[in-house]
Amino acid sequence: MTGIDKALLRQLLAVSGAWEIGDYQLDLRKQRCDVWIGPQIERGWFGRPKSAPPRTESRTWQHVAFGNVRFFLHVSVPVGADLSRLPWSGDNGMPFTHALAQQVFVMFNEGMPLPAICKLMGLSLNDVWRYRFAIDNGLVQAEGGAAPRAAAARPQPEAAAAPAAPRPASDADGDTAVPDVTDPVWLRLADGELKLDIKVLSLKLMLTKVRSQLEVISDDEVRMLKLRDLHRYFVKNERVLGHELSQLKAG
Amino acid sequence: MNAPRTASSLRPATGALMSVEEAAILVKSGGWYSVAAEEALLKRLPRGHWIGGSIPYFVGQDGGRTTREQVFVTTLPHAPGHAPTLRWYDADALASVCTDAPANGYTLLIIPAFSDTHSRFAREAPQYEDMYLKPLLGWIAGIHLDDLGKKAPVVINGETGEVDGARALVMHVPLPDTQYARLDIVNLFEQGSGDRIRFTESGFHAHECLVNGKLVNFAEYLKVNAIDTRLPLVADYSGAMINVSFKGVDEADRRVDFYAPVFDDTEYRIAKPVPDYGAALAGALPADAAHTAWSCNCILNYLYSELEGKRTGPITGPMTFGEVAYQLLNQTMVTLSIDDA
Repeated sequence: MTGIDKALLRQLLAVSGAWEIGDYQLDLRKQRCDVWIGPQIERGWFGRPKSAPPRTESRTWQHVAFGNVRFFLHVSVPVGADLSRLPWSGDNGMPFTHALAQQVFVMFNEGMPLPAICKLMGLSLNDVWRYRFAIDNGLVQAEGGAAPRAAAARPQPEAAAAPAAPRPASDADGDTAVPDVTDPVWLRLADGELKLDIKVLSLKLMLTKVRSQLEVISDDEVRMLKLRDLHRYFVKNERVLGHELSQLKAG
Repeated sequence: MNAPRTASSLRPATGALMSVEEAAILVKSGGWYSVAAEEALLKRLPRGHWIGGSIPYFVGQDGGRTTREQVFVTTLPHAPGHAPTLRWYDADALASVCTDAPANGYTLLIIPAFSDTHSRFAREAPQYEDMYLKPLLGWIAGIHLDDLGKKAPVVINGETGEVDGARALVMHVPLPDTQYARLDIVNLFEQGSGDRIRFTESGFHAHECLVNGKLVNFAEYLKVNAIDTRLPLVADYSGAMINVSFKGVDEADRRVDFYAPVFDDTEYRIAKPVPDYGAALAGALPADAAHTAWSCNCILNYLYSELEGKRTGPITGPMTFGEVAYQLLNQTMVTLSIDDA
């Protein structure tokens, strides 16, 4: 087995404070490194614990890869501990650490297809889809701790939520009749304030899905992602949505 | 005896019933096809660009018919230089079916009934990446009801001859920019004016539900209120009426089973009765119904509305164990049209 200096591993994973790396296993053939992390145990003479170790639960998350090596972190979490601020931990039941989830979320925001995300980051489609499902259903918050550059450059949800007068169709996308993604009309449509006479089946289903998701999503970044999804639907299907777009423009 | 109908005399654009020999001539003549028939007949067809699923129930050119001897063939619209592709998907891979779909075109899907792929698609399709962005249509392959418990539904890849009872088979059909696919449904069922029903859990069966906000056992509710379970539950999806059909009631377990999942974030009502489905359907079809290129309908409509020998306007197609217009539907006609941009 190839060795890594544990101090270096702590630095790479940003494991600090009351946490320690208990063990690791690096398999270069599989390009995979498994790391076991747990609460630091104060030890006395001859390395014996000074007190009984806390009751823990074991959780596993995939972490950001270093080079071609994928990292899987097996964390012993003391019952009731709050790990939400630790980049190398994740949400219970989710496949990724917060650090990795943040990178995946940035790609969602950019509208990148799931298979492309998987290919680019070496992730399984099942895991990415599970994370996306949890976001869409309000089961987890977006990983916006360090706001992704691309997301930060985009309009904030408050802008879309503000009760401003609707803007005319943007010219940014050429001749499109689809209002710009920043237009408040998307939030008014998504939250049901703006009612359309809809003829197209896919829009009826899409709108129902988005409205249902927004009912349970409180995270602003994820709500904005849903509005972008709706906008993307209109851009993609613009030529069959003439009846609906004329109402959007008037709305 | 009538003279055999030849492939060239087929009238409905949505396809027609024919002998295996006629179907063989058709698929060998080039083009791309959707085929529905009993498994044994599908296996007798030659290799060609076709996607097939098992079912013996149809509305053919002469009306509703149950047959183990004929094959239903639809010529699929496609464009020169834009060759369709066939691909198998297991239950996990199916989540990427919409992202794999052509940027402009449509995707035809056949899933064998009772398979894990069927169950997973029913529950998960609305959450698929790019769902609703590109036309996804299809049907659930079935068997003759007399064969329940003896045979299993299958799908078959006409290009390779592979037969499968577990995976979904998909034909991705790209279209040129001058055309686009329009997918729609014709559902005669509307929400009745009765109780508002919500389920505490999503799934293919239910024990408890909230009726007008009050928690009750659903099986008992159906019994006490003498609900006709041939009428589906209907949900209003922003104006689209989406059915969930009753499969049965297990009185011992006080459980109700469905042919599609109910969702816990959706409000349902029992449908209003439709007195004469065949006639009502013909009247409800859009003015350009004859322009429809592909269609399917539900075996429950066939059985409950006694469509044997009856026509459904100019539209023909297999009567299936479930219909797909983006997501799984019940008791609904699905139609595909190709329009000029």
